[in-house]
Amino acid sequence: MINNKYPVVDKIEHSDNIFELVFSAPYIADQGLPGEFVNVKVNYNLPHPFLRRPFSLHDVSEDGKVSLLIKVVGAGTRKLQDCSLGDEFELLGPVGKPFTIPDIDCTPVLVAGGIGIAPIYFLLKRLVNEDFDPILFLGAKTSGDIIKKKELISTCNVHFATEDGSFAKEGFVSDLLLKHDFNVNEKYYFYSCGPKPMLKKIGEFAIQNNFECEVSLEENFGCGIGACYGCSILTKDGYKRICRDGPVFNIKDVFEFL
Amino acid sequence: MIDLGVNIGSVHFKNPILLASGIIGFGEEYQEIIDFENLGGIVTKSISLNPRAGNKPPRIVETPCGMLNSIGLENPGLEKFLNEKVDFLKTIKTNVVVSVAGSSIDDFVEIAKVLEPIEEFKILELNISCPNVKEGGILFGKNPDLTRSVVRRVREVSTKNLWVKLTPNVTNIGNIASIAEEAGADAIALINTFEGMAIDINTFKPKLGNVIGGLSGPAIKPMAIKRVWEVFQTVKIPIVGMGGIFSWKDVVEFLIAGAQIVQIGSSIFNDPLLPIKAITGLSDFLRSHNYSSISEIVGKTKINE
Repeated sequence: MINNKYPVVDKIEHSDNIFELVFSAPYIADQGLPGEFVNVKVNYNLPHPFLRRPFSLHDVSEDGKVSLLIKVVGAGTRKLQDCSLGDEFELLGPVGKPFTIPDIDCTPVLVAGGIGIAPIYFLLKRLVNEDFDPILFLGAKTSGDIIKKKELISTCNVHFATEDGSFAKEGFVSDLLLKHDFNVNEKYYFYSCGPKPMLKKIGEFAIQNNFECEVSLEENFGCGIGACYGCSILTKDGYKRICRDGPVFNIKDVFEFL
Repeated sequence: MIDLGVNIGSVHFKNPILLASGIIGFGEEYQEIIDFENLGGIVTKSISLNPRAGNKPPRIVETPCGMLNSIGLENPGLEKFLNEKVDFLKTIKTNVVVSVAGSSIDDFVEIAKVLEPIEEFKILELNISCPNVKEGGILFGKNPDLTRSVVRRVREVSTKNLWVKLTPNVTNIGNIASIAEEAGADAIALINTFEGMAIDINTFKPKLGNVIGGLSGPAIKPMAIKRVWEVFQTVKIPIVGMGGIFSWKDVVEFLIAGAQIVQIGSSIFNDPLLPIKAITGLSDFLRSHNYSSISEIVGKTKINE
């Protein structure tokens, strides 16, 4: 984990409010693992927005590029959206506990809701690289919110759902998953990131079927490196810091508190 | 290079820039990105006699130019502090101020007694001003009699440099500061956070799990400066100033208002290099204005001149 300034080398608009910011950040690209995140300083010379914004690593490349998938929700993300190529931002990271890479005889099942695809995409690429054959379930509000459709279809076995039915199956991705025919003789390892009600449904399903399951959680961060205890959440072992003990947690440790 | 050194009692600080309590925990995480030895010191997260789980989340909400927090003094308690944190803290090559919290006067006394033999810790900061706990905390700092008792009782058992950290959430902070001085404090540290609250207009629910919290960040700096200036006129002992420091200029402002030492708090979250930048900035400021030490500017606010 280091704090350093990195230039924006690319900005890709995926929809009105979802974009990808690509930094040239060799250290993070080299060290970063799926599930880890960086804290981005969004204010310069002004004290507002005061806190840094945490973003999961969305992708890294061998030539030192790091990409963050960002949904515009407020003043901080808007500042990032307004940036120009060449602008430099301070990134602190990589921080956090990454997803576990499973035993090779497991079939990874990745479930992402909305902007939850951000860390799941990085995990998916890593798993495919390591010869796994993952299944991806990806849900969004509407067709335009589903990023990288073609690439995902060509990369893995993918199931889409949109809440408004504008693309693929209509409804929640969690319901799509519950209807899926999982082979009782196979070992599955679930990973999920998205809204809490979705994580609850996926978690319940995984626990009932005795599948391993990890979820990536979020909360407002203070320091973002584990020192301030501002992002603590209840787990079965008491309060844990999302930024340091997570953001990835085993569902069994957090399910009853979601 | 200008000497930025400051003495409070018998304790020497290589410069007046410290990190405030509750910001860096016990130092383990931030040591990766901040060279503590370049600072005048660090203040630990407050230690209570027994472990404290802390408050219900969410514990942090961003506000204009600042943040509300209601951590609730989550800490491992005195025993775990001694077993798991002290060895690392002893390796830090600058002053380590131990912040002490208690739900009763006896708690403060007990912790002070146990810390007394640890020579590496030369300073205790009594946190009688946390707004986020039901027992102790701010209740002490708002009450002149309790302030007097807790400082007096700790003074009886501790030979360490004793700092008392005050809350701004009182009518007359100068009065509380004088009481702490009379009771034996070596320095007054001010201010802790301002009590605050934020409500989600869509759900009508408080944004903090604890309903209320403490406001920190640049938003509170003018209010902190005012209180440092006020207390500077009422006490003779040194002042440790804090509240919203976001740049080296803020450090200079606190010194002019009357602080001999400052602590930087939540702005570290924004810029972990701020303390180092503040040391350089302060040094450059003094040099460019031909001052040879910080004592030449401490408390030199010009009124009606």
